[in-house]
Amino acid sequence: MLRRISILLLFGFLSVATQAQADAVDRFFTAYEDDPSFSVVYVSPKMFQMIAKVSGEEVEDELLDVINDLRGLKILTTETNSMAVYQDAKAKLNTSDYEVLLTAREEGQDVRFFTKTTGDVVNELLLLVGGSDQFVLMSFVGNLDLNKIAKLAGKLDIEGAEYLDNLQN
Amino acid sequence: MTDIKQLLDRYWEGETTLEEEANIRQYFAVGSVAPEYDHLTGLFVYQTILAQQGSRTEVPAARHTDVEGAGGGASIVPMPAMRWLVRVAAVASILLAAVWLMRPADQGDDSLAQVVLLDEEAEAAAALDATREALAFLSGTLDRNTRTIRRHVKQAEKADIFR
Repeated sequence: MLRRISILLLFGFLSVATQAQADAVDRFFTAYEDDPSFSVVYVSPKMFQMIAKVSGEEVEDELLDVINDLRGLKILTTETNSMAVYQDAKAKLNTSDYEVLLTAREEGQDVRFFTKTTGDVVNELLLLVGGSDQFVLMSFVGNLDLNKIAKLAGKLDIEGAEYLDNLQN
Repeated sequence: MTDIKQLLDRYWEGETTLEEEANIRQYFAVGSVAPEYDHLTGLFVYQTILAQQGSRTEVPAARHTDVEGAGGGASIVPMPAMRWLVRVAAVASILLAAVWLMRPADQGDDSLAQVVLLDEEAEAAAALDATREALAFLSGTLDRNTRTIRRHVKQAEKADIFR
C-alpha cells in the first residue's frame, strides 16, 4: 500500500521537535528519497495539525490520541538490496545519539528500536528493520508515549497493508 | 376576377407582397366579392380591421400623457410594459456584470481557496492512512518483540545458572 502510494508531503513548517531528527536520519532520508526503488513518506507537523482537524468519527480514539502527540513522521522502505541498505543505515545513522529500546532478531530480520528522550519524555522513536526481503526505517517525532503506542497493537484494522503483513509474518 | 384569382393563388403560396395583400383586403372590403370567394370575405375583412389597428400610431387616450406648455401640446406615448421589462433586465445585467468585474480580488480567490482546502483535506486523509499503517506496524512490531523478549527471559530464568 505504502509502496504504491508514495507520498512526499512537504510544508516547510519545522518545529523544534522535528529538529531532533534533522541530522543523521535526515541525511539518510535525503540520500534515498529520490531513488525510485524506495517508498518515501514524510508527514509534516502542519499535516498532523490538519489530520487532527479532518479526522472524523471513523478514526479510533486510541489512534487519535497518539496522532495528537506526533509532530513528524518519516518512513523509508525498500525491497531492493534491503540488507545492504540496512547495513548502510546502521553505519550512517549515529545511533550513539539514541538509547536502544529494543533489539531483536526473528526469522532473519533485525529489528531495532531507538529513542531520544528529554527527561521522561520520548521525543523521537526510531525503528530500523532489516532483512533479506525488506528494509524499513521509521522515525516518529513528538511527545511519544510508548504505552499508548503499545496499546494500539491489535486495535488498528489495517486493510491492504501488504508489505506490513509480509513483515509481520 | 383573373387578377384576384392570381393574387389569391400567390397569397396562399405566400408569395404576395405587402402591397398585393393590401389590394386583396381592399377587394374584399369594397363588397363586390365574387360568389366563389365569398367565404373568404370574413377572413380578409378581419385582417383589414387588424391592419387598421396595427397601423394606428395613437394609443388609447387613457395612456397619453400630455405635456402642456413645454412642448406646445406634444404628447409622450408611454413605452409598452415589455419594452420596460427588457430595458430593466438589460440594465440589471450590466450592473451585475459590473459588480462581478469590480469585486475585490480576495473574494475572487474564494473558489481557488476552496479547491486548495479540498486538496489539503485529501492530503490529510492520505497522511492519516500512512500514519495509521506506520503506527500499526510500529505497535505490532513493538508488541511482538516485547513478548518474544519476555518469553526468552522467562526461559532464561528457568535455566540452572539463575537458580
